[in-house]
Amino acid sequence: MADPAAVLLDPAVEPVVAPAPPAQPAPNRRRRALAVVLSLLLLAASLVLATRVGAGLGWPQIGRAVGVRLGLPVQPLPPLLDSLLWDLRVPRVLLAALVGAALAVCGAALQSVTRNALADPYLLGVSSGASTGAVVVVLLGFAGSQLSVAGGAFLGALVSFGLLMLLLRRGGLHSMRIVLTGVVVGQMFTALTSLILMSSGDADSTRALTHWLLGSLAPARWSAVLLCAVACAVGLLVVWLCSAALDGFAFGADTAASLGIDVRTTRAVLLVTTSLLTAVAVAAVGAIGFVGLIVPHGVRLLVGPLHRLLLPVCAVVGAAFLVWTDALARVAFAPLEVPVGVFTALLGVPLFLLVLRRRGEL
Amino acid sequence: MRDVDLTVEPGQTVGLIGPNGSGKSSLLRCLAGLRTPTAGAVRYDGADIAAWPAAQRARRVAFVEQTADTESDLRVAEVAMLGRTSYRSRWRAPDATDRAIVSAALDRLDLAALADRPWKQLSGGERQRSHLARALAQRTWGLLLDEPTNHLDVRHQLDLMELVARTPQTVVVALHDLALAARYCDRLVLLHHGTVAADGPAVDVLTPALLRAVFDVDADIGRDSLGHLSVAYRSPAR
Amino acid sequence: MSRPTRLGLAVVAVALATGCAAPQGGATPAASAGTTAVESCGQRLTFANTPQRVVALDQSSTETLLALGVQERMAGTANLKTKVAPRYAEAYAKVPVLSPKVLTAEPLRAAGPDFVVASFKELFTADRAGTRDELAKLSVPTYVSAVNCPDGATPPFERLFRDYQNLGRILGAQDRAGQLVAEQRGVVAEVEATARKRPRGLKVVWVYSVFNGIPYVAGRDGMASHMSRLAGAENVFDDVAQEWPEVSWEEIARRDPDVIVVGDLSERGNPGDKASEKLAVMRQHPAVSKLDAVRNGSFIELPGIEMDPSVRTVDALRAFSEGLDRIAGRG
Repeated sequence: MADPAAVLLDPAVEPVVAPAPPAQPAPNRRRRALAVVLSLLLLAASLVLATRVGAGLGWPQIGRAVGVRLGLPVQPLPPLLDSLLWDLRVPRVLLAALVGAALAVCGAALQSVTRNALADPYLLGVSSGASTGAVVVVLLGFAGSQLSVAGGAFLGALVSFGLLMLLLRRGGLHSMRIVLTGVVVGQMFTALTSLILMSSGDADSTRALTHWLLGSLAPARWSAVLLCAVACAVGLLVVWLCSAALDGFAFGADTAASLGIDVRTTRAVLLVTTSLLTAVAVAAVGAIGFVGLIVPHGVRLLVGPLHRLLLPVCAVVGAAFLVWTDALARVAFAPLEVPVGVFTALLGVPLFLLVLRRRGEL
Repeated sequence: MRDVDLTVEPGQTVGLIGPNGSGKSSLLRCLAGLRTPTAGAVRYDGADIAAWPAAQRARRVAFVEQTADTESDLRVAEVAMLGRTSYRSRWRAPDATDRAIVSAALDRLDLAALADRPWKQLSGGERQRSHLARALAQRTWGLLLDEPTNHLDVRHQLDLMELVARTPQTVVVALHDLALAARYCDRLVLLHHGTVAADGPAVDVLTPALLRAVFDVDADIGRDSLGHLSVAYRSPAR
Repeated sequence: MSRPTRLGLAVVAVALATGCAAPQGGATPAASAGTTAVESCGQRLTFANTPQRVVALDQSSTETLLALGVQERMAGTANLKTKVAPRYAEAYAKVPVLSPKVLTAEPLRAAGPDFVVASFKELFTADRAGTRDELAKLSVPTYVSAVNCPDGATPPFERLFRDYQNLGRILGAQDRAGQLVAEQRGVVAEVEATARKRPRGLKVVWVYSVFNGIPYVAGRDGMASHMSRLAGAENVFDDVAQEWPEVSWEEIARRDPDVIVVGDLSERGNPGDKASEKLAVMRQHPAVSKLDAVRNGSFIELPGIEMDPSVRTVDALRAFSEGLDRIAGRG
């Protein structure tokens, strides 16, 4: 047993490894550090720059508004402009960041759990289920409370997830099947939402609820930001703590189980957590599609498939992505606002087709 | 599967043989704790593993599936690192010990040069070896291998079986190639329709009568020029 | 019996309103002393000064403000479905268009309004102009048309008139508002008077819009049903408790109306929006084309926009009454 490798691999011997000298970091470690730093810088810059994008505010006004808050002797903005910045723009940009992070991380996690490159809360119908739940709660008269709307959305998301799993229970999990089933479940819930909206009478209140079908950040307010921030903090951490398991799912459930991953529990934890994140996002801004598809695919090309790094970078890039897509939605056809879901779909659908084609399924 | 009573001694290398559908894979999955038997129990060192947490099982027994494929862009070293999952805390990244163990496992399977290659770019044989490297990185007492030589060329088949036979671990390996099984395993278990048809040293298990009964072939058992047990097939049984 | 009484009360109300607001400058009152308080759809609005930067969120409220002659003090308008009535075009040209469609909260606040007027509560949601509460906290009162807040007692035209009076008080245009109410109330009275000379109970269907070949007609809850009653006719879809329910051509044929009112929405410009297109559809339809109303050409064409409650609706009422005269006289 002179062979050091044999000793290391011998279960009878406790592995002893001399503490490695603080050698220069390996090139890929340096690349990883760079990816994290760059994406954080990208996010910070995005948050600041995107706040300027839209009607009514230039840098001098933003400077004055911030100056007043810092107690500097500057002339305050007129109250309406000040509220445009603090009550509308800032929460909107922050909410876009939180929702973008949540959806991107959900996408990455679902892609691993379902072993399907096309998994995304929207394509799997979870967002539609959440929309239905949210609309039901609103029409029952709880529109005022962000928490109850999110609760309804969470129930809706769980029901649609349950239905999806039920439909997929038998037979293989190849990606076309999962996506088709997801789309069917999604369509069903979309139809259900429309039905509920129609039967609720009043055409105008119906129109006021359609953003749950389209996805728009226009209703962003602080209450939604706070709820999303709490849900993201908890949800993203839970998903991140499952990183090793998510890596282990790469070769399927049996291999994952043999690696020591409690497949059932992990799956359940991840499905509930992603449902929760999706639900909170949908309750705040409606069903925004494809963020969970575009971002993880792009980030994987940058930092590789290991979730320990992939997930945080996805969160940061997803946040920046939605912040900018929403800024685009604000100004592209100003003063009209395009629901941001329209732009994410425009960007996402070509990528969806590309992924399908690369996998030879189209 | 029914009526399977099997005790594997520490350090033994047991070959599971039998036709397709005879239950080799199912038995291995039961032994690995991936399936819970409806009746009876799987015990490691006398302890029933049914209630064990997955991580505890994974530190005792490693399992390599017949074909485990992925669409992920994991690199070879990262695949081997998956073997360290059950030792890692949720909070920390792989440490120096994990990395040393992984590189030892890759060395052992001749994969050190491919460590940074995407797993998907490997040949079938290299993929199988990387799974084995991952299993070794689990540092388990037991290894459960489901037809590990399937995609390997002759050279790597022999390499792998040598390694399996030499390793101090207890090994249960499902094999198609009867001659390979006879040569490297201390003991063969012949499965037929989900039950054990024969269990013992190769000479007792590989008999023309059993082969005819189980595999439905007419075969002669003899010795090759090196003195290893050889199987010469005459024809499908008539 | 009750009508003269009510009229009298309304006149008293106008007189009171005129009495309590100080300046009478019509379009250019300066900031006035004293506080004006108005109830609007569940909110009590108070004005220490006359608003100087009014934003209207939709066509109907825009036209009401233009009819009151306050265009100089309008900071913006939005969401015009069709062109404004020609008589307001000149005044409208002076008002900045903040958005061609639904106005959202950011551009609204950027416009710096001190008063926001809308025809529908639903324009004040978080994803549209922002909620009424939010704007109230920013000291921006919001007015929602009384038409959108039925109290179960006041008929639709009276609710429109209440809007004129309320907005007139708030914006210091009581005189113009009083005139408008008097004029329009006169039209309503005239139509009711003519109706008494005509055979009652003519059955009428209001084909407002045809979308994807499906007709949308007047139900019980809209202005059209009310106008039918004022003119002594009967809306055949009064059993449907909606404003513009979607029905089928077969159902229209089955109810065999004596008169068909056709909405002209050419200014909206979607396929099928012209009155002529709707007539063509009806003349080709196997069942509808056989109706006496179609064969005799008992059609009344009205601008679709005037069938919804607005300052222009009396025009539709008058034209509708004249159309009935024409058809009844011929028959």
